[in-house]
Amino acid sequence: MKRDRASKPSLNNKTGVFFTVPVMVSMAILTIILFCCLFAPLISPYEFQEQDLTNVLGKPGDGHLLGTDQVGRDVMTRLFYGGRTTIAGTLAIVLVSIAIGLPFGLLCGYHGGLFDSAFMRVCDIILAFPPLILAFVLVSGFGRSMSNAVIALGIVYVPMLARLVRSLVMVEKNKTYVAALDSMCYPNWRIVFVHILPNCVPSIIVQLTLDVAYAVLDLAGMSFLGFGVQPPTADWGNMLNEGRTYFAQMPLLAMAPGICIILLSVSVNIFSDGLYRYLEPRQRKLPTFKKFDRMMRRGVERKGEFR
Amino acid sequence: MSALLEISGLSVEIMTTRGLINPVREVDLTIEKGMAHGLVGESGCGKSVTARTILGLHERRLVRVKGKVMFEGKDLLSLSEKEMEKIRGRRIGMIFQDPVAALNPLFKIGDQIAEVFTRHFGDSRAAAKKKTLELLERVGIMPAEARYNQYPFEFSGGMLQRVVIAIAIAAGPPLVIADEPTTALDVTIQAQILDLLQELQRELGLAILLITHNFGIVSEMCDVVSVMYAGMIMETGNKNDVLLNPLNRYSKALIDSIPSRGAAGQAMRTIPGTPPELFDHYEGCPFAPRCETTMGICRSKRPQLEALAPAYGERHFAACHLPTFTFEKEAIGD
Amino acid sequence: MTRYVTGRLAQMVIVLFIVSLLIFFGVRITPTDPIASIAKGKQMSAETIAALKAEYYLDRPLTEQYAIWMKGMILGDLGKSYQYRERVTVLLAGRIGTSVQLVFMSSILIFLLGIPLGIISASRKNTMTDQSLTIASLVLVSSPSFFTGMILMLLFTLVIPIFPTFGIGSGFVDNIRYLALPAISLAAVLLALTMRMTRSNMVEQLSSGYVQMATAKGLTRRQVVYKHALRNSSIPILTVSSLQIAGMLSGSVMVETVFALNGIGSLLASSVNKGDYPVTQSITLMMVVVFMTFNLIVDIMYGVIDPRIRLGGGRKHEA
Repeated sequence: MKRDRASKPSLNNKTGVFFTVPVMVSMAILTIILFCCLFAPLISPYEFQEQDLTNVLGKPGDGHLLGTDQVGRDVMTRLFYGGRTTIAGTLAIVLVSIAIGLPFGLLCGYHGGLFDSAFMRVCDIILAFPPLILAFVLVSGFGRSMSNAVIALGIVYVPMLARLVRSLVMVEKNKTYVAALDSMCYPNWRIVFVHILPNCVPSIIVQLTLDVAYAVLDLAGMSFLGFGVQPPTADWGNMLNEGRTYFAQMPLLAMAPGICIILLSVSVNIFSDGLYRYLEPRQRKLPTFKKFDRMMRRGVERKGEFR
Repeated sequence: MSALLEISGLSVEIMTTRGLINPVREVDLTIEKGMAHGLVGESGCGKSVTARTILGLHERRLVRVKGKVMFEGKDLLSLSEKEMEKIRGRRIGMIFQDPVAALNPLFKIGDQIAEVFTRHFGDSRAAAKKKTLELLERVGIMPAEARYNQYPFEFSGGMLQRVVIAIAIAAGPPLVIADEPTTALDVTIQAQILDLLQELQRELGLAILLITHNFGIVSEMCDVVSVMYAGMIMETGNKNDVLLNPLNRYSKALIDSIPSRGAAGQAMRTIPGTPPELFDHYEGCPFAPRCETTMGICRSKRPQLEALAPAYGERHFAACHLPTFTFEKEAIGD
Repeated sequence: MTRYVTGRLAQMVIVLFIVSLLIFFGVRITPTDPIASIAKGKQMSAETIAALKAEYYLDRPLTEQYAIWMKGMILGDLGKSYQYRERVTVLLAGRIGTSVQLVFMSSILIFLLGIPLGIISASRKNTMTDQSLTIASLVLVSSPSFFTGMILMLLFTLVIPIFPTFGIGSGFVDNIRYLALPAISLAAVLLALTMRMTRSNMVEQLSSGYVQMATAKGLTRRQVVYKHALRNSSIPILTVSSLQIAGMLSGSVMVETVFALNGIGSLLASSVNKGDYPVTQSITLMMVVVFMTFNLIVDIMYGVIDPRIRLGGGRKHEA
């Protein structure tokens, strides 16, 4: 069968790319934030705890690019170090939720039965709490600290992830290839981890990136209320809270961490959305005809074989 | 006889996530008043797209259309959305493949039909209801009064298709497009629905564009038939002319692959290969790669619809470089 | 239907029992001395401490304390606050009005803005309007409610001082003025979420078979969108946005703290910070009760709206 296939470029290799403009921008922002936080000790102009009581609530400029706070610490330095805590905490929350949610979700989905219904009842109980309230209770009981806030939020995120994994596994489990593997006497663990799990990974990753975006906001909220990071350690949430006291004199003190939180969260959201569209081609946005024609013309110039 | 709908040089390009597809390529099609016109082809050959283009049901932003669709003196492709709204349902009715999906699950059956009367004739609720009840009885849904107030989930698939037919003919349009009206139904119900359609067609003098992949339905229902392949009309003519003497090699292969009662015990005839992808751009005849008999021109020049053999019926046109009668002698010989 | 509701109620009672255990023992898991938070650093004689312990039932074993709390809960007595040394019921009564009004105003904002904007966005999919709304919602979703509140405060104190930024007014109309900014900041995130959800749901409905049929009938675009598609997506939209209103209970904690409102939320925040167990456990349990009741009501409403469920026997597939 001879068919002239190469002559008509399809969208797949033109717009089906992961690196669209919004994703590129969000990745650039994320890279900058990560870079600043990771190398905070190297690039920050001052020491983290360095106070200068002669220059309290100093205006931006004059050696302090973003000014100084109520005890004369450099705001930018604190922003870098605070970002470290925020990002580390966020990732830790997501890790806790995977560590619990993924194995339970897999087991419940594949095995079903009593274990499944028991775990689902536990999830029901967690979900009976309005969001964050359970975290408040846990923090109240275990004491207010960064690690407790992280564990509490991690637990709050478990049911969502576990249910997603469970439903994905239940769909995969009923597909023919699983029956085939089963009939060939493959061990269950092998079917689950080597064959079923890889098919669920894309959806799980999308959910995890979304969870990161939520975790940034929730952790900031906990710290803002004083349930998370305790001074003198800083994260963007408690910097916002400290800045609130001096809001009238120097709004920048609160605005700077606030804007950082928004930037981080927006970028993660866009990144997650881009990932989703990339993994679910049906969700891709279609180009206009004008844009498509331009794409095609470029194709002609490059290949010289279109039509 | 005069033409009711005249499609000429219709090409449709649709933007999809997999690329720009070209499901309809320079189609010419004429539907006469009061005639049932069958449009036959394998799935994905552009039948449904043609139908939807006539009514302008595609999202305009994603579709690029060339050619003309003349209906009652107007080119439907050049009309605005507002003007099309007055034609849809009022002048052209549409019957969909899956009646379960086509009816709104949250609206009463009767209200979904009555909507046509209130929309196109400005009828009062009571007047629309009265007309609807008559219509329900006409399409065989009884007791109409009780059925009026029921919801789609309380109906069977066949009954729902009757409702869809009622909606399509409610405003008394001269043309109804039926897109595989029986494909989603049980075989026993299919015959009933086709009978109903045929009755209505005779009674109301409807022209029907019947889209199907089933030659049995065509031979039962249609006066004229067109065979479509890869977005092209391969052959068109009166039903008997085409069915008995297919000129185009694709039509012949398609008709030969109908399992017939007389051929029990014989292997079913099939067409090797698959239809071309809708993205593909090709010179020549789209069927050439699957055709049993080809020559050089088949791969380089696109055949046009022509009156190849007037002896095999008036108004019988086919697009083929090597029509079936060309090798008649050899065929008889072996 | 009645059977369904009784079943759900029974299930709710069991879950609530477990939740109450979780809350009660959860807040006490690491032993801290409640007397310290009552005393607030003052020196006390042994007798006073013993008297206080008796007053707060701290001399009893934990299980008995739990029983006392549960009994009180049913009889309408929630114990006494450590930090205020006042009955929790009295504390709550003075503050609940503010919180309810705040949540109510935010819900109105969500329904009146979130849903219509989502519909507009969907019916003009991929146009400039749609894209700007999508970007705006993305920013709103990503801004924590307390930060939104602070920006609003800054805006309205420095630039256009119409709304007061702290405290609460006297009388209903005055309250609306005072609560406007807190309500907007509380609503912002959920409004954006509601909008996105409405949009995606409407987009899905607009591509379904019955919408094509409605178009093929010759209905106008307006009729197709507002009569057919909207009616079908209204069930999921109402469900989810109602659930979001219940979710505002936790958002109110932060917003009330930022705007220094004397509501339930700010009370919860301070009680967690001060180790005031009776207040923490009572407010959290109350919030769970409200949240679950809301969920139940929404589920029942769902059945009332959808004829397939209302009339029974129907398949409950996607509307």
